[in-house]
Amino acid sequence: MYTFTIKLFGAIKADLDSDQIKLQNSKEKLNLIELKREIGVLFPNISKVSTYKVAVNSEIYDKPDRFIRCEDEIALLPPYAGG
Amino acid sequence: MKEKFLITLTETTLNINAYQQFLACEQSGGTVTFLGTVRDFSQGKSVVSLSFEAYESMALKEMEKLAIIASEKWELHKIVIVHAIGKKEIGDAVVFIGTSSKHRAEAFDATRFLIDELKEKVPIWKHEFYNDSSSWLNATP
Repeated sequence: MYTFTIKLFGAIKADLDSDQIKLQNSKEKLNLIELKREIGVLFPNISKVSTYKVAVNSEIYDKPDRFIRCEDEIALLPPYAGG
Repeated sequence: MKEKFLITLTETTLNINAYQQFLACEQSGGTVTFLGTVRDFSQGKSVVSLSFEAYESMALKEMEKLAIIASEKWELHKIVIVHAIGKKEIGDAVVFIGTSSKHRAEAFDATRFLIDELKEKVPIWKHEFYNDSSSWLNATP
């Protein structure tokens, strides 16, 4: 099994009361759709907390077929509110 | 040549004098700055305090990207982008944007561009605290 470590921020971090989650998967890499599906299975209420984007190695990934490897730095980003 | 950009996130009080000094440049005829502060009323409620959180490594990269884009769009001598993180009280300075350029028009346009884009592109979150509750905010104009 491979472990995907996912950083959390803002409302998602507060709701899950953790700054990261870990996903176990038999695959070493997942595409964006698969990753979001796995997150939804593990945390079914996450979409009720907030919409979010996925950042991989500090870049927004928005193409559904783009692969994410377990060693990547992954983060769930709720809508920004700086300034 | 001295550094052209000053880009940082800080948990301490914003050092506005230092940012103004950084922007000073003999070739510049205009310096434009924007200072964002904590206001006392939001979402129909009295605000007691707020807290900013950032995905710091990505935020700094995005802030630098914005500075590069601005310096390509306008002829700028210096750029400052500073955002606070951590707990802040009413009236505290939380964001400082500044640009200096030969003529004022470039500095006005670039400074407006930088604060607008920062709100949209930089991963920073705001948690407002009221007397009886709190709320994570979405981006506001």
